[in-house]
Amino acid sequence: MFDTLCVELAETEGALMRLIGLVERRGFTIATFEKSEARDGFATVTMRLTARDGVRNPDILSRQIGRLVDVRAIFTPEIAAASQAAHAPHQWSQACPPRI
Amino acid sequence: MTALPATDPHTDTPSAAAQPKQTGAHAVVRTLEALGVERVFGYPGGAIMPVYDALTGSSLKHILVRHEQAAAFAADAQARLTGKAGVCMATSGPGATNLLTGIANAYMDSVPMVILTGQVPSGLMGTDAFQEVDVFGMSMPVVKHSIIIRDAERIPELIAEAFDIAESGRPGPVLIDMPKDILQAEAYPTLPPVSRPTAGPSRADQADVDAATALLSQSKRPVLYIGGGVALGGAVDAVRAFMDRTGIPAVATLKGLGCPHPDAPDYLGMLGMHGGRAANVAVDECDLLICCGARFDDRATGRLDSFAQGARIIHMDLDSAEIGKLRAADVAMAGDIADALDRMDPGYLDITEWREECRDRKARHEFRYDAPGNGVYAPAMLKQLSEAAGDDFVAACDVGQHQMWVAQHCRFARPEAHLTSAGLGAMGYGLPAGIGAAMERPDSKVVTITGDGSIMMNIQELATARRYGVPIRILLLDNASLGLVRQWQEYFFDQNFSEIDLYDNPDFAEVAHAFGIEAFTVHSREEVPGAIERLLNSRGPILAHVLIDPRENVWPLVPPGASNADMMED
Ligand SMILES: Cc1ncc(C[n+]2csc(CCOP(=O)(O)OP(=O)(O)O)c2C)c(N)n1
Ligand SMILES: [Mg+2]
Repeated sequence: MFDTLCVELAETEGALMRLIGLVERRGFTIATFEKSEARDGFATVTMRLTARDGVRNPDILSRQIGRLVDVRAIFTPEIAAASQAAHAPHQWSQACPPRI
Repeated sequence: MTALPATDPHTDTPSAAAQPKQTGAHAVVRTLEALGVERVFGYPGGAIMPVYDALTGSSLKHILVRHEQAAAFAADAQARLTGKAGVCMATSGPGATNLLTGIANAYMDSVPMVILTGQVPSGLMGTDAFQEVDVFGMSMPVVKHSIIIRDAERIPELIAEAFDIAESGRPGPVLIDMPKDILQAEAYPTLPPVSRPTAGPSRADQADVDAATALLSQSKRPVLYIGGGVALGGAVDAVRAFMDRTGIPAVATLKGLGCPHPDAPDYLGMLGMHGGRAANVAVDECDLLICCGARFDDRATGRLDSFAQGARIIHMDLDSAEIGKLRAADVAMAGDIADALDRMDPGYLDITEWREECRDRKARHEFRYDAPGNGVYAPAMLKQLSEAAGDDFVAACDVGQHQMWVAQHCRFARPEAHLTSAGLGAMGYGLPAGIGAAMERPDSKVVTITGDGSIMMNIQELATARRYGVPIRILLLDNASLGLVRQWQEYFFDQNFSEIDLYDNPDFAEVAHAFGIEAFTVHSREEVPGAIERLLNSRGPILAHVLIDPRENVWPLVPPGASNADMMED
């Protein structure tokens, strides 16, 4: 499990609203939120999330975020750290899932 | 690029400024033409008037509906038939908000659609201008993507991209909001190339295919659970071949109907709230559920924690975000479903006993059509209608009991033959969807099957059917009530029949006549064969107003919150 998501997001109109809206609608609260300045058209958003019901899986959320056209990559620092110690986790948590 | 003076939003009319030779609006029209769009459903108004002006002389055929919601539904139906994005357009403000239900419908059922909305001029956006609503923001939860065009020179590129996004991968609606000043700006952009590149879906890992095959080889009681993603992913033939090859019993969701061949011996019918006993019991008892392009929707699963309780799960879906969303998968295969099925070859499966058990249950629980009395029995009429129409049958359903009867009793040779508002369940879909379908497939037997409640949600579209001579047949099942709600009140609200009585419906045949449409009323069972013949032999538009018993219910029924195995029967 993880609760921090880093999202590489295109600096386009509505992208931020779309990301935040999706997170809220899918049942998560944003505890902390930080956005970098954009470089080459992309910014990094780092969010610490909690599931409103304490049950929802942030892994599914990360894949739903990955479907957004404005999202180039998703990174979950906790999983990345854990994967170095243990067996490999789901790959799509490391980078954006294939765009569908 | 020179921006023209903005129009006066308060008069809702274009300014008197001279039109430039080529504008953003021309670019919109030329781009749609270049992308191969032939038909656009829409309704004009202030902010989108430049586009309507530019339509003159275009090869695009604009279909003037009588409510923007109908434009979206008609475009949706066309898209479901062709797999290509349907196009609809409307003006800002009320035009845009009227589209929203149709956009949500396309989103819920993963239908490719491009929606063009006019917007107030850029300088007025965010000022509560006349007919300004933030449709970009309002539609965000129900679009695959959306854009506001800020530069007329980018119109072709952005529209082409919208089509790409709408049609590729898991399809969905894409909204393009177009401020009026952008539409009126002088612009000479380069048009997009005619053929658009689309990336193919990814393939499941071989390790996952092997793991799935191993689970299948060990299984004694496997079931295929088929959803709308099969047709969307072009996997219908692969599913049918897999069923033939393995003999695994299959069930389908509302959107999966037509994917298994209707006459396949191991196809057990629809599962879920109004599913058949054979389908629901098979899922309840299976030890392996192979989910193909379905999403464990609550209408299909009933109480989730008791759904296929003892089963391992193989989940295949084009969209990896669906896998594990509601039920953990033992083997997850994201990507091309057809490819994954083709690669699964378990060899001989020792499931003869299970297959026989399923077939036997199916035979014992076939629907019966020998209802007592002389009144029209809607399930029997629908069965006869779809059989008489044969493989050319296309049903465009509304929402209610009649929709469930269509799902249970009609025969669908292909999934595209069943147009239904599945995810959203939007009353009002049937008539405009039938219009969109009949325009696209004039030689098919397109029948809108609607209820006395639903038809009133978009009855104004009879005018569209009449204006364009649309070859649509409308079967209106009139039980003088909001039947599905009445049924729930009967069983789950202590027969407190609250606000479901439509005793004062108009005479629908007379209403149709007033629109200039041929119509007749069917009162009794013996009139049914003649009515079906008349409907199917007419070029249309034609409406059959069929009076049915208000007390007729849809069976079986899984009560809300119950397990599918605990279905109620007549
Ligand atoms: C736009 C919309 N409003 C309300 C509902 C809730 N609803 C579902 S079925 C139904 C009754 C439909 O009545 P009718 O079209 O006559 O069909 P019947 O059930 O009688 O066959 C209602 C009100 C809905 N699905 N869609
Ligand atoms: Mg009714």
